Amino acid sequence: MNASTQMEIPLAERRLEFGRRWLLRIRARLGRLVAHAVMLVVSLACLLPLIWITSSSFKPKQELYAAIPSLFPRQWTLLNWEWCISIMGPVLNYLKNSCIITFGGMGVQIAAATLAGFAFARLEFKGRDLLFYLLLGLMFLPRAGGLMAAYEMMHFLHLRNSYLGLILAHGASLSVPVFIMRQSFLAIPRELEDSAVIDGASTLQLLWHIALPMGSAGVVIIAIFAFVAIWGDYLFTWTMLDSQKLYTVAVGITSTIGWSAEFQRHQISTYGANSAAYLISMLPVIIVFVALQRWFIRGLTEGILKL
Amino acid sequence: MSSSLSTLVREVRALRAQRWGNKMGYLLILPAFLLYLVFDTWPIFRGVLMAFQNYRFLIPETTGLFSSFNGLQNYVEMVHDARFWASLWTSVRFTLMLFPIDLVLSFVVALLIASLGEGPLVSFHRVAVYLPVVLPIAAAMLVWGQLYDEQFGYLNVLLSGLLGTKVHIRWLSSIEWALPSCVLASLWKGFGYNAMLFLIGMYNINRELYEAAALDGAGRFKQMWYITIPLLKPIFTLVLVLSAGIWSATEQVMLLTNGGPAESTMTLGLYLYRVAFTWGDMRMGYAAAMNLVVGLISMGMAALVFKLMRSERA
Repeated sequence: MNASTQMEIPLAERRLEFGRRWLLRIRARLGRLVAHAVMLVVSLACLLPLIWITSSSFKPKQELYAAIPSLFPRQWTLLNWEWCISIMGPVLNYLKNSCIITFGGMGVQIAAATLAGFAFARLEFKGRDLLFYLLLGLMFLPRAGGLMAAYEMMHFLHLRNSYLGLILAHGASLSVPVFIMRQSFLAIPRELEDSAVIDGASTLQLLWHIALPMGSAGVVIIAIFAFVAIWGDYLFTWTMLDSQKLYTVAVGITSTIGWSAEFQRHQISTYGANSAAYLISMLPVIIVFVALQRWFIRGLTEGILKL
Repeated sequence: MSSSLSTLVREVRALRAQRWGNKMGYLLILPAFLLYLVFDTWPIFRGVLMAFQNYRFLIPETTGLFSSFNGLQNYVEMVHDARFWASLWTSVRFTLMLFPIDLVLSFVVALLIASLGEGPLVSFHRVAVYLPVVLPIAAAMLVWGQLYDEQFGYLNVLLSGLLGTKVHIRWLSSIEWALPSCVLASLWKGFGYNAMLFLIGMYNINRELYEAAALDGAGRFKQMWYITIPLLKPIFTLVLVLSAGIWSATEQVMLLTNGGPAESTMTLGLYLYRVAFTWGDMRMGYAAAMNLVVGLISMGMAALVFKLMRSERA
């Protein structure tokens, strides 16, 4: 368009075009504002239970049993927390159990998945692909046996009321971890391995010194999802355990009946102590998630896109 | 020079194929396979077997692998069991309430977050939405139990403040509200996962498609209808498949209402669990039979969903 044709557009039309574009920009900005506002409401609604439980754990007895509770405590107290963290309470024991079972399960998953993933990705052996698809495909069978058959089997193996049993059982959800490790190992350039082999590396050395460091992203992803799943697991863990001494923190908080004897002495309310306990069970997971959120998103992304 | 390098590489590869032949591979996959077959696969088959036995855990004579088969007795009993039908119906109501809202909510939230681009505030939203998903389920449900409390809980207070009138809903102790309360808590806990899946799908749609559509004059809504939704079909399918577990919903009701006022929130999963682990002789055979029926229904529904998805594509 040259200057002469431009001059031919009447001034009125040009002003109209300006106005329309200005309106569209306003509408776009308004749209963004509305989106932000709505999301803010949604996010706060999602966080409300957490805010409530946190403030409950700092409230003294009177406020917890007030007729109209307020969202934030008017008087802050550390009594509930003191009780939970003190050696008198079972919470520390539960935390110990949670750590043992969770980290044990994570370790088993990572170890088994890394070994298998490496074998499926880089080794050649008969039936390799068939076995891989078998492992993956079994994941889609409906869990018809469910808890009952697992209960019988664990009982038979004397693994039921034990750390080892739970660690192994939780470590056995391996379809997705093996898939992820195989993906990460497949992505390692072959030249690195070739040069290592020329230098005389054995399979295991290859795995340990080259594949694992390069595939460490996969390990992190497996670790965090395993952590979240095992730490928070309720039904399986609770069913398999008989003795309260072995309860994880995610299970123990549901059986707080024996606590009330202590409460009279220490001026604590059941509500407050419970609140602190619930929060303790949630904190590790919250911290891990907030700190490592990009890894969670990455894990989900790789899972979806490659499936 | 280069040819000798490539021969070297070929030799190395041949050596590798020779050296790393069969045995090592099998050894490396052994732990994973062993664990998986023992703890994950065997229970499935054992469960199917158990579904045809009159297996009661507390009576040792009935607890062999092959003892006390009773044919279809379990299923006959199931048909006549009023509680079975009641809990089935409760599960259906639960799923019908939860699933559509979950789907729509997570999709809309994903749309909103995707439209906001990047930035610290967006990270906050993503974290807030997905956080309930990672929380331990027991803690999460018990917290909701506190919120739902009629005397000391915050929910009634909040609603009263927001709506201006005194709200006193008996969330967990009235029959009308017990199941919806469970649905709400489950919605809060689970929608973030689907939202995240949708969000990741949306992040991976090529921007240029939207630009091209905008050039052709399509407004935001049309863009969503013709670009976003069709391209997210595989994620929709994934969400549907993953949501198959909503059905049984054992843990939420167990922790919130324990079957609810007058068994109004006794979902099939919870009923199953009680029959197998809590009541009487621990009748795992009967529970396994119910579980099998539920599993078959789920498989049927999943197959139906797959067929629908495929025919739409054609």
